[in-house]
Amino acid sequence: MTCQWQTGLLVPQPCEMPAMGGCSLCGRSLCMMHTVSGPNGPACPTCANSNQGYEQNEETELESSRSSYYTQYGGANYFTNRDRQSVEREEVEGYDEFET
Amino acid sequence: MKLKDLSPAARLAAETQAIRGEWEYSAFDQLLKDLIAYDTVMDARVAFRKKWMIVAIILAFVGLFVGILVIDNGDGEAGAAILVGGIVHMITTIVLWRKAKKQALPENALAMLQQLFRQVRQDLDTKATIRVNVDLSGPTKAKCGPKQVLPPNGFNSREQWVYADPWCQLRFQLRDGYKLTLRQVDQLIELRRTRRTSRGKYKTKTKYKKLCRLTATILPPAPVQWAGQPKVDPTWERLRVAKKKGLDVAVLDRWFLYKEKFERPKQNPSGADAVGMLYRLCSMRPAEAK
Ligand SMILES: [Zn+2]
Ligand SMILES: [Zn+2]
Repeated sequence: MTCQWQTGLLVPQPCEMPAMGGCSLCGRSLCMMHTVSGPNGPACPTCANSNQGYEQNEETELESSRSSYYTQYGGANYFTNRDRQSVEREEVEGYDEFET
Repeated sequence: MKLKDLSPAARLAAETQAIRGEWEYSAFDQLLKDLIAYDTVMDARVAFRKKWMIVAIILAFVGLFVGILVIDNGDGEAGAAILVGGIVHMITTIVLWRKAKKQALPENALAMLQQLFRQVRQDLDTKATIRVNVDLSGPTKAKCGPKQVLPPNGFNSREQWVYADPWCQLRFQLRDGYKLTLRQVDQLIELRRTRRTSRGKYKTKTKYKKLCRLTATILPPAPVQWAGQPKVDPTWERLRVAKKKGLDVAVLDRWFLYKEKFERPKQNPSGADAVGMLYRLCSMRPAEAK
């Protein structure tokens, strides 16, 4: 098994490192680098970002910006279905509210 | 972090207030980190020297009266020393404050660059470098156009100065061969209005406006049929699709407006704003490129 995490923001690409385990929340297999520890067991950055109590690292921060760009700009037909499901969460504020 | 503690690259950038050349991501990120740390020290120095200057101005005034009193009491030499000493001290603090102010860097611009590349780091073509041409000196006198005299519109006079600052040009390549460019041009507008009050005094007020224009471009490695148009805000954005040297390019402009009543606006678009633009341009790539 290889890691099913997608790296990157503008050019998403599967990680493909050997998987060491899986996300205890969504089940996808993960390498060491993309496993985040927290109260509900090891999780992928998406689940760590949407669940309380998980440590924040570069990957979870990137995931948080990735999902905000997705909700703000629709993401076109840009994400795979699995990723679309994973990022369709709470709405973020409109991107032009800081203009006023 | 002081100037002498900086790496040679950061020192050069701080001294010339510019970043130029071809950069690897990690070296560029380190440079920005160093410059932000340096600027934090510089900002603290500016704040300290400003306080010192205010105290010196008060002391100079006190010295003026004390000096005159002492001269009146017959000790001309001591009086003159107090008087002149206070003024020299005041001028010194003003000079030092202005010097520190000139050394400080625009922290919001640095933060934008840092956030932008931290977010797209994994998308960069590792074999290519980031081409950087960044001017951090801000709206200097050299960037100011001629004084414009506007119709008074109920005031006694309205005068305007416009600074044009094309401070940022970036170009980098993604892992899929697409090239992205980002350019920012700032326009600082200072409007000075003079009004005569009912008591016959003239009162002058200056208003500050900063209009930033961010332009992002996507260049495909070969001619493409764009997949579609991304979401564009009709008020603040404009999307153009054109051909350049036989290649299909897409250009997204976004304007940002900041206003201040008492000083020049320091705000700048964030790195996330810039990435949001690049993100949408990238969503125009045809399916096989994704
Ligand atoms: Zn998960
Ligand atoms: Zn992985």
